[in-house]
Amino acid sequence: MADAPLDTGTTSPARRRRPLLITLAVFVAIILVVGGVTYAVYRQQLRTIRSKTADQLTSIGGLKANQISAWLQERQGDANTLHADEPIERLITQWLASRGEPLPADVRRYFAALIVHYQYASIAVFDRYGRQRWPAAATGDNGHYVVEAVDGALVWGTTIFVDLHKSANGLPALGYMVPIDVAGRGPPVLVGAVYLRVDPARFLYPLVQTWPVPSGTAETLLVRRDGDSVTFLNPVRGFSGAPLTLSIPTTDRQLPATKAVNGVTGIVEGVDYRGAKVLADLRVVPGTRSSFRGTQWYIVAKENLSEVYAGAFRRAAAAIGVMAAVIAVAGLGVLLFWRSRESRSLQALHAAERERRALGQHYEYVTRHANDSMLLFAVDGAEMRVVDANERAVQTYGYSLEELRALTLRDLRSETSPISYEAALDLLHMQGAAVIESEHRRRDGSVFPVENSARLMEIEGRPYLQCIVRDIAERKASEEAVRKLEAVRDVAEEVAGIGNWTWDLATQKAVWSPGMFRLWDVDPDAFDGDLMAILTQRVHPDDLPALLETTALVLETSDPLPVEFRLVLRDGTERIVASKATPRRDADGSVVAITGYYQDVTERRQAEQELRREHAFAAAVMDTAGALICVLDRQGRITAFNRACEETTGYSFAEVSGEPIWERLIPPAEVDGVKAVFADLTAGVMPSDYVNNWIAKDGSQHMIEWSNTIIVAADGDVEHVVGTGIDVTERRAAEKRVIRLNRLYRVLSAVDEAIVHVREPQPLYAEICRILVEMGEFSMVWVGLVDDSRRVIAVAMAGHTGDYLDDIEITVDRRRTARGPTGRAIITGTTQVSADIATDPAMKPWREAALRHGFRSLAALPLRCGNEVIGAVMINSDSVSALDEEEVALLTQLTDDVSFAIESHRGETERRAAEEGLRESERMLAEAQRLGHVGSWRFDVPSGMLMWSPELYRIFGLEPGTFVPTLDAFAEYVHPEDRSTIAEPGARGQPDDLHEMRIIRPDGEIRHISTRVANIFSDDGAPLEMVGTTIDVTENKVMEDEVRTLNVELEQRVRLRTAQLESANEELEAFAYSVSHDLRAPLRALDGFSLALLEDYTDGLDATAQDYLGRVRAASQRMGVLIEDLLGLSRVTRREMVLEDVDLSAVARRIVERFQQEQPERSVEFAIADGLRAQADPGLLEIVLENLVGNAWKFTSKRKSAHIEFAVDGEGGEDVYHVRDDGAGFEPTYAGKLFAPFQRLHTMSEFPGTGIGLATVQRIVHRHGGRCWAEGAPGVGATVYFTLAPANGQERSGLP
Amino acid sequence: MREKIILLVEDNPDDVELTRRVLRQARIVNEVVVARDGVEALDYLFGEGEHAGRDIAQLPAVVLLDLKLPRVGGLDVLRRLRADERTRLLPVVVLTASCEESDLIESYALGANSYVRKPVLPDDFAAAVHTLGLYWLLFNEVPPVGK
Repeated sequence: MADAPLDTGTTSPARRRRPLLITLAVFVAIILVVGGVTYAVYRQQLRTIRSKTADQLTSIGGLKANQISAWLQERQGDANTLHADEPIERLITQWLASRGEPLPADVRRYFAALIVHYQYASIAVFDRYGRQRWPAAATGDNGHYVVEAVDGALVWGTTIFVDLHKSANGLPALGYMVPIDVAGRGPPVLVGAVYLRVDPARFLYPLVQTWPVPSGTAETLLVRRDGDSVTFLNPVRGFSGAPLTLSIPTTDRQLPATKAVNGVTGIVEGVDYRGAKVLADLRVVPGTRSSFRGTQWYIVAKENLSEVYAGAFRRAAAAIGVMAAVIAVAGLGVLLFWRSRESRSLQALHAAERERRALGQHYEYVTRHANDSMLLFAVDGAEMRVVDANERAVQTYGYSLEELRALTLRDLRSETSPISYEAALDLLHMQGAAVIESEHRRRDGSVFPVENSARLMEIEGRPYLQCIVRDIAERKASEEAVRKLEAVRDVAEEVAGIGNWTWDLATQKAVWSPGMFRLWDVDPDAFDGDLMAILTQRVHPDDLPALLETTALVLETSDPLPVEFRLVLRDGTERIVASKATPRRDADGSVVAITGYYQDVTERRQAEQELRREHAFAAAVMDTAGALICVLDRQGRITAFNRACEETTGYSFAEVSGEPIWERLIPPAEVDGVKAVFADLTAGVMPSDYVNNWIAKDGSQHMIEWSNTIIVAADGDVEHVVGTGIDVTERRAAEKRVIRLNRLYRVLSAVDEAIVHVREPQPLYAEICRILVEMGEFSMVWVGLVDDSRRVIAVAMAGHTGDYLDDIEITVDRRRTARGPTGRAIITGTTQVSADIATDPAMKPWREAALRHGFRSLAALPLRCGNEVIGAVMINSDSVSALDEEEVALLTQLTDDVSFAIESHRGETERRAAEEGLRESERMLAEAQRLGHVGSWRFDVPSGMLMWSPELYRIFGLEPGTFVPTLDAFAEYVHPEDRSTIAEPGARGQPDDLHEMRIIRPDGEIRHISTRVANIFSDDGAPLEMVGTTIDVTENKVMEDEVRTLNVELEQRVRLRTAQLESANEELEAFAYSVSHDLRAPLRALDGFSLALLEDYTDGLDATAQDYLGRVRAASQRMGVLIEDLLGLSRVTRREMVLEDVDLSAVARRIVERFQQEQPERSVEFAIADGLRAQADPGLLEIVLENLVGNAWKFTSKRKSAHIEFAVDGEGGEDVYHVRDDGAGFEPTYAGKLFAPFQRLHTMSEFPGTGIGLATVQRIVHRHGGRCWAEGAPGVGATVYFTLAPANGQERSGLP
Repeated sequence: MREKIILLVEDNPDDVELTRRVLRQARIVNEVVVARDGVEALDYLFGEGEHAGRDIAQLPAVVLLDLKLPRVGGLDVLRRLRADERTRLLPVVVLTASCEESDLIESYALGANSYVRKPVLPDDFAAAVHTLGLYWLLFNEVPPVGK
């Protein structure tokens, strides 16, 4: 290694001191500048802080003022709401006008709501004189603030703000005074006021006191001017006294509060009440003006200046500290800079030295261990002189180092180098480094190929060339070998149509073999490794995406995949190529490249495709053949199974492929037969036809008719058996069905024939059963009919006998066991089929019996007669699903025919019965006519035929049948005067017109007849028929005449009698009237003058005289009562009766009440039945009850307690009323006399009375058509009975 | 002032006397003119017959009218009084022993001012007349004579 001289670059001390001075000067200048700037910044800081604090105070002050104002406005709003609430005001007004009443509940509730919801401290009501009325006890807050507010509210009628004040209890308060006025006509009248008192401590003070940011001295004050001083309204920080107690004279001009009340607003500096310098924001609180004092609230938001600037001072101190540090550091920096200038060149030298040492060591190391020759040339123009070389170079070239140092690069090169020295040099100069293959010459003159990695470099400013020279003789040799191999490969490729490729993962480049270019039809010269371009050019567009995807996958996973795709060559031909790749791995196993080959598979694919097409064609032919085609190999294994086979069996070819045909398709019973046939076939016996069954996957059996053939292999052995079959299952079934249907048709016609011949149902049923069994080949058939208890009774049966029917019981009770086919058929009237008795759940109750008898299916067919199902035909079969739909339809038709036969039989029977009945009734009618002398006739209008009943002949005095009646002949018999009453045929008259006329019998006797005629018309109104009955009324006529005469006489008699009665009545009335007047007048005089004597001449009369006069009076009064009662009796008789519905119970109760009121001391228990009603004259009935109850009352008067009862009992449908008492009673022998007038059974002294009462009762009862009687016994009591309605329904008499 | 007369139309002298007694007892001292039947009563009132020339302008204060009277009955008298313009408004009290409802109804229909059943008991009779007398004679002005 060669040394290179270096400049170490040292400096003199004089040059070093100058910068120190400059540095110091700069340093001082910096100190001055920084100091000045710092001070300016500090001043600026102070200003900024002050302004920031001022902004804060302004916003806080403004916020609070607004909040307070808003809060007060809400309170004012409450007050206004109350003022506007007329109902409450009215209530308060009314209450204020009252004296001593409690405050109305509504008002109290309203106040309570205000207090609770709006946080009022209290509410007070004042009257028009300003006196507190509610609460009764004064709240102690009626200081002058409140008093003047009351006055103001009462004078102005507006809500008054009660300013903050100290109430009597020392607590601060404020509020609103709301006037209460009565709205009416004219201005409202003020009657009082309500004070809504607010405790400021609840909301106002906390609001004022809160400070939104942390601060030690900041505070908000609410102040007001009170005279010559400022009052602090809220609790303040530096004063422990209550709010409103701190007051400072306005002479303290430094006080911000003073400034505020003096009208200063905005930011001020001052000295606050604590003596501290403060910065304050002053403003008015809107809406706080007091109406009386003109004062208002101011808000002072303030903060101590000391606190405001505290931050600034701290920062200033910090800034000074920082500045000092900066200056110190700067000084230090200058010093260090100066010092470092001195040490830098030394350091550089040291570093270069160290670097060179490292390089040297490295170079030495490389040189020593390198396998390549290394040479360092000094560049001298175009010549490179060897400066240094390693040992390998010495060995390679054969020169010693010294000899080498005498040589140039040109000397070492051979002229045979592929690239000239100059060209190589140019390349080197151009690129600075190059790998150049050339040939070098050894000292012995031998030339060897080298790869020279040359690099120009500069060492300490001088150009050098470093060359690493590798002997590549061996490589060249191997390359040659490869070339030869490749040539061989190319030939092979060309022959096999194969191309090789390699994809180098490192370079991302492809290397293709010539075969590739041929395959791809790509010009090798044009190929630059850009695969994409070629792919898009050559690969069939349809295959490109898949190829790219696969390629990407391969590249990504290094997992080579086979691909096959089409190429489109330049002439347009398509080739199919297949590629397979394998990854190439290095020693570590990681993939470094992918190699693969391409093969032209076009011909192969085409051949394959052809083959496939042929196969597909064969398969299609097989599949499209309608027949089943099944190919078996020699072992009977299935090798082909066409689609028809698949469809028939439900197995796919895949499922059965390779297994012997008899494995699962052939029913076990048929396997041997199939194997035998197969054996024949494989033995070469053919053609062969065979029928066997196949079992499908679903278990169904298919009958297949096979036509078999064999395929013989080249060796003559049978290779395959081919079966071609047709599924004949359906055809066979259809054939069977046709046979069955034919049989049924025969049955049907036989049954129809039987119906014609057998008229009676019972033999018909038996015949049907027989036919169905014998011809229809059913196992057993029976006919069941429903009996009265809804049981099904078998009436006919054929075929299988035995005890089947004994085993089963069938009812058609809807609720119970009618779940079987028979019951359902009868109930629903529809045919029921049980296709498989063994599985049909409906057959459960009968299953065992049916199966035991060998029945496998059955049908139940309803038998009808008219609309009624009378039974069913039951058909049992020994095979499952014996009856299909069509057969059932046929059988239904059969039973319908039978039903029709039964119905027509029944109809015939009924018709016969009806005819018999008609004949009977005709006979009876004739007999009735004969007995009743009623004749009937019928005239047919269109034909003019007249028919007479036999009796009509007799009425006309003719023998029945001896005379052909016509209208004219009939008219001949009619009395000439009456012929006009003969009804015209078709005359529209009343239905059942009655005509009366006389006829003259052949013997000349005149008879009266009455004919009732009815005309019958056709739909269009033409008369069709006249029918009528004729009665001989001659006897009636005679009787009618007699009755008429008698009636006339009777009426005359009645009129006469009535006149007599009327006159008697009038006389009686006149008599009664005069009795009432004239008979009583003397009595009045007797009584009146006796009284006059007693009163006017008391002194002149002794006791006896007075007694006598008393007797005169009593006698005359009694006479008056007698007359009164008599008149009453007569009135009862004369009075006109009006019948109404009378509530007797109510009447009786009314009367009883009267008696009880007259003699309340009596203890009488009444039992009056409820709801006694009658059609009667209410006035008269009242008299009856009054008398009866009165008697009972009277005759029980001697008893301490008595019972009186009024009730009714029905007696043979007649209502019998009674009044019963337990009083004095009477001798039963006199019972009959009781009802006579004036009849008395007791002395006057015992029981007073006139004896008219019961007579009156009897009169009234009789007038109502009733009866009355009495029962009784002395000392036991009496019962008076009466009825009102006549028992036999006679008219009530209106007469006495 | 003129004497207020009571016209008592009554045929039964006993009843006349009893009526007078009761009036006396009630201290009614007005003159009582008695008419013995309907004719006499009408003659008195209209100044006819026996009373011809009487100043008929001088009507009684009240007429106590029995119904059952000889010749012309009380109801006819009442009908005549009400039909005449002069006596149309004359107070008439029907005084009768009749208990017939028809009498009462007819009396009122004809325009009787009052209807009093003659009580058989003098006490009642006295009370009834007493009440009537007090009312008509002491407190009520007799209406002016109609044209």
